[in-house]
Amino acid sequence: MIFYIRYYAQVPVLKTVDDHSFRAEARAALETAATEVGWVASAALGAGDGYDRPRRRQLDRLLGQRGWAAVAWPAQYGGRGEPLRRHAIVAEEFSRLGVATPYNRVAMGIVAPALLHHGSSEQKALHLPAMLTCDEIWCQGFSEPGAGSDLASLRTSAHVENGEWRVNGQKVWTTLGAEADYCFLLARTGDGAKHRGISALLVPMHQPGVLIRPIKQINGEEDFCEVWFEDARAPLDAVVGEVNSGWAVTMSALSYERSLHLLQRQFRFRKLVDELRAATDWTSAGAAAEDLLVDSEIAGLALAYAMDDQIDTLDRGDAGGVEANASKVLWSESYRRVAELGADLSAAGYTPSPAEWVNECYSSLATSIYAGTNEIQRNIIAERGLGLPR
Amino acid sequence: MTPPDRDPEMEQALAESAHALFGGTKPSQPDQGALDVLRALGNAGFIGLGIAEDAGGSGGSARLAGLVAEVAGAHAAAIVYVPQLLAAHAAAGAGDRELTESLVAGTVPAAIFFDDGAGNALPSPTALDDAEKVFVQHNRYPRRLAASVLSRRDDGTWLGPDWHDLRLEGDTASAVEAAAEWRDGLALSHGISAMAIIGLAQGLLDRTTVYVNARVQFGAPIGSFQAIKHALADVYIDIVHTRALVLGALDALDGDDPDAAHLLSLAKVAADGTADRPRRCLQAMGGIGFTWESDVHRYLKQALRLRQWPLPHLTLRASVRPTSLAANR
Repeated sequence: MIFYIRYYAQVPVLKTVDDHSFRAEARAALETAATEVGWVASAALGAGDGYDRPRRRQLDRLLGQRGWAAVAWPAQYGGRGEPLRRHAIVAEEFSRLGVATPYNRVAMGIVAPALLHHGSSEQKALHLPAMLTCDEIWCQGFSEPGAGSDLASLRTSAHVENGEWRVNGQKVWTTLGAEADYCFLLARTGDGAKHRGISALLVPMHQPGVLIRPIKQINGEEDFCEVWFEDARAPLDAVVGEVNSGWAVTMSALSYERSLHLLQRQFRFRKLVDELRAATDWTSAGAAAEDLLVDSEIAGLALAYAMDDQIDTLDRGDAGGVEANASKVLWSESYRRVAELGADLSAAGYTPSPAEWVNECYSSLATSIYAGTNEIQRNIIAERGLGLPR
Repeated sequence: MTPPDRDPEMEQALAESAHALFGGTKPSQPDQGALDVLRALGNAGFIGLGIAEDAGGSGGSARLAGLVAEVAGAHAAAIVYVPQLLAAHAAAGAGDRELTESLVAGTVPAAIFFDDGAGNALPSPTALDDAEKVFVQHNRYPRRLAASVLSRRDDGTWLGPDWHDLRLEGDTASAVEAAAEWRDGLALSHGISAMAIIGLAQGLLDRTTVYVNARVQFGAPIGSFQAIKHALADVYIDIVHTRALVLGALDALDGDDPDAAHLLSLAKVAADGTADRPRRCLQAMGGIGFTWESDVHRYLKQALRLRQWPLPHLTLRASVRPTSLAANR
């Protein structure tokens, strides 16, 4: 016997009670575009970023052209000037279509926010509309072999030569590196102390001085890369913000990533929990498994309500405290646990798709590492949130 | 279905005034002084929160009552406020205006019990010695809850140590002064108890961070060690999310959302986990945290008692399993 209890999906997690018409408009726009490009949500368990990428790119392009890919951006760059709450509503509608993240996710999640806050008007006009329509795919060049959690110890350097920047060094864990047109790159440009002397550069990827090697991950995907820069070139005006102020630019972009980017990941987590609840024969699974499911449901609801509060904070123009760091930790650890529960239940035959759940387990292991390891998040919470000594 | 508009500034002012009140009392010995605290709470209008003014309350919402319960927890005074608040709600639900007003004023101290339907009536975590009224909420029928009011026996005792006696049947009706539907009682109690647990965890976390900043070992404040940082960061992560969930569920209750009772059950299960957080704080404090003279044990004990109240944690957990929900549909 299979139960499908709808209570969970009915919980109005986003405070959209007075915003039904906007949601309906967004839903109609997304569904129309999905029909036009032939996008069909995967029937398989919560399909991830790797599912039907050609159609997803078309879908994002179409919605970008129609002003639905980034409603919180200013209208002049292809948005609608809406509050972030409405961005969240659209994100929730994307998740209904089985889309967890934007195709151009590094651009939309990290680079665009950095440009919107710190970029020149020329940089915004040149890149933002192209990001929106997937005409420019972006990667980020942050981590290096010797600079992971200790990002500020990075050694990739850039200097001006003959009126342009020349970049030398190696980056790693470069998401979307193999298909990117541009890299949002951190390089050492001055002699200042560790966190000073770093600049954020917009570096074209299609040039002789850039070598890319995809890295095969434990889940079989090749999402990220190693990238070598050997006298790679970038125009003089390709610095975001002031020269040597790249650390501040990047920290604000990463904090945005944690908040809104995480919002979409979190929708997918809830969907995964919903799917597991719906597809499982709970009469046989046993009380221990039921309790683990309830724990996942609680985590999903708590994340949704907490992120809802964070959206309010951001919409008030307040950068917020360490709440988003806390949500990153809870989300990644809850995601791992629900994947393990799915693997256990499917191995015992109580729920279908054992291979997919095992793969979900593998994929989940990246989440407590990327976007700042959970250990770093806990340090930040303790030092900036609780005021413990460094 | 729409929760009432929130007023963050008013909520902040309410919390500040609650902090002033609870912070100014000495609830370290709750049996003494509890009556004074109750009257002060009554004067401030805190006990009537969430009860309509025409029913003898102070108006406001369940959310606001939850915020005061949280502050009570932060000052380890949860066991004074929570039972009185819920008793007042029970009296209001029973339509007894006179009793409601005296409970709201804090002049008649009360205790409250929840009958879980299996013969277990759990006393509220209050000092029964002080109580002049004891309320019983029957929960034998999932959707039909009733509140009963018992009076103290002539010999000064209640119903003896065997709380199973509290399963009121027709022949014990002489003990019942009032009975009526109190539909939201259990759900509200989950929310209020949960907020008190969150306050207890936050209050102890605040004290612990002060301690680990000051306590020096190996030549450094112990708060600089990652083992301590990460343990306390986990307490924070838990508090911030559980709090958001409980307040969201209380908003659902205030908005007459049909899912509110279920959401509050889930929120209380989450808060029951948070009740374990004082243990982490005690660990960070080391030996001093295990002493009677430190305040740690008051937070820990109140949190662990509220974990079992209004329903035992395992009973509540069992009730939200998929198979239980399907059976009760």
